[in-house]
Amino acid sequence: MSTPLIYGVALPALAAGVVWGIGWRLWRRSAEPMAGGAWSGAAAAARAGAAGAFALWGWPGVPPRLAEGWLPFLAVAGGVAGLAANRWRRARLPLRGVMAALAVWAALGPRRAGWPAGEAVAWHATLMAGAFVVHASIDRVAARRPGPGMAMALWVWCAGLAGALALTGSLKYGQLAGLPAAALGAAAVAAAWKPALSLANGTAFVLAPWNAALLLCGYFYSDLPAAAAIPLAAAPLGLWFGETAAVTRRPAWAAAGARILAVAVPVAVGAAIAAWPTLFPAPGPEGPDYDYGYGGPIPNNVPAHSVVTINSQNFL
Amino acid sequence: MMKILILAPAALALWLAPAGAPSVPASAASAAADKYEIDPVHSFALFKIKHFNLGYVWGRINGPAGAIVVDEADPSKSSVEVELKAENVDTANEKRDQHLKGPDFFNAKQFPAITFKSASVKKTGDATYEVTGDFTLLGVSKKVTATLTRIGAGKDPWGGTRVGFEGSFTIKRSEHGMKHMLDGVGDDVHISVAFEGVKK
Repeated sequence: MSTPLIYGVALPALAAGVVWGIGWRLWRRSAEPMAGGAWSGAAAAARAGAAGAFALWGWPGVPPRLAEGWLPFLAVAGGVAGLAANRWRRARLPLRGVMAALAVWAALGPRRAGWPAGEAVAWHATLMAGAFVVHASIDRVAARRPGPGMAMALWVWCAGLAGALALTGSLKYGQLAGLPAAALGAAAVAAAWKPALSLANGTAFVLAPWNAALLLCGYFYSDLPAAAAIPLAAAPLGLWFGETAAVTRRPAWAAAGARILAVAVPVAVGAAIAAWPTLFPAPGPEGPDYDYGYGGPIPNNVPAHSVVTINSQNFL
Repeated sequence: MMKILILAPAALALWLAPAGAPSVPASAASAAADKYEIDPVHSFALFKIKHFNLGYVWGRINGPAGAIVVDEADPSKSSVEVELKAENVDTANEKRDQHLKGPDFFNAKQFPAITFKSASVKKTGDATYEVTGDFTLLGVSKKVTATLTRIGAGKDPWGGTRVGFEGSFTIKRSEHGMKHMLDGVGDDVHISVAFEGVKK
């Protein structure tokens, strides 16, 4: 159990933290105050995603056999796009479009062949548009709101997605969603120390396509229901609630709290819908499921001689 | 009802026939390679895998399909092709099956088929064969060698000709990219197959 924690949480958090640290050192010397902070966001998130994915599952091959195998490459591409977007303002819009297209294209690879051409085009176009809108929303709000509140709101998104994916058939997908969550955790801590840290036009170039691709993998290849995937996908749009007059006139901490809450509500709805069948399974025709190795209680009617006590020394 | 009464003695006769005693004349079988289609109802693919290194979990993948070519005169020209649907994995626990079919293990939606295609067949005894071929799981093909034993061959009650084999081989799931929970669920997967082919 320690390996997933080291590679899935500590490594991406450390990788992101180191890059952010370097970014700030350079930022101090930069004439443009936000330049360093923003470029380091792209690089940090990319490094966290790629490092965590490679450490957990190794080299996915080129081209990857699995749809989720594209994620580390998507992170690297997002990092490069984020750096370019940070340097060239006019490139931001088209680069967001390119990243949305790459995410959807990569995630739908194994599914694409099963669709007639018209249906495939409709799916791709709709999902790319959705991914683009979510990405643009994160960038727009993050540009206005530097500081730890933004990192925490996005951490809530990633953590909720990780939980929902882990509870709907794939611990692996849950771990993959946890990688940017770990990086954002590091960002939140760092931003508490340096409140001018911005996640705009950098971090979102990795984060938004990563989560879009994972949501599609969860929906198409695992058991994430559409009723859960939609609020989870749309959760960052809640950031706009924090831009309403009723919120912006509040103290900064209250406005940041409102933004986090506005993201957390759809995340909670999506995660609850996803988790419901796992947490509250309907009893089957042969009675309650006799646990499945997840440490549930052993039914009372099991004869005593069939209960074996296992200690950790037996495992290996 | 009448059909059952007519077929029952024939089925009983087939059941009681000595195993390994083909009722097909050897000359007819060896005249040319015989092609058989795997009967999914009377064929089985079972697997067992260690759980916490202290016990075995058994499962099966229902409904194998494929084709067998048996050339008695030149066994090297024989071949076996089997296809299993990852969606049909069955370990007698619905929750576990759901997890096994998902991206952590069989990834049935991205890789619906598990296949074996022989590359060479060598006769090693009266009724035993060494079959080497490509076993493909999760899109990764690895060479495996299975020892197959011919159980028997003969007529079925419906006038068809059947042949039956069983055999086993072992794979390492990690070599196919199935690396989830390797600390709790073993890497070696022992696969046993028993299949009947119906002559085409």
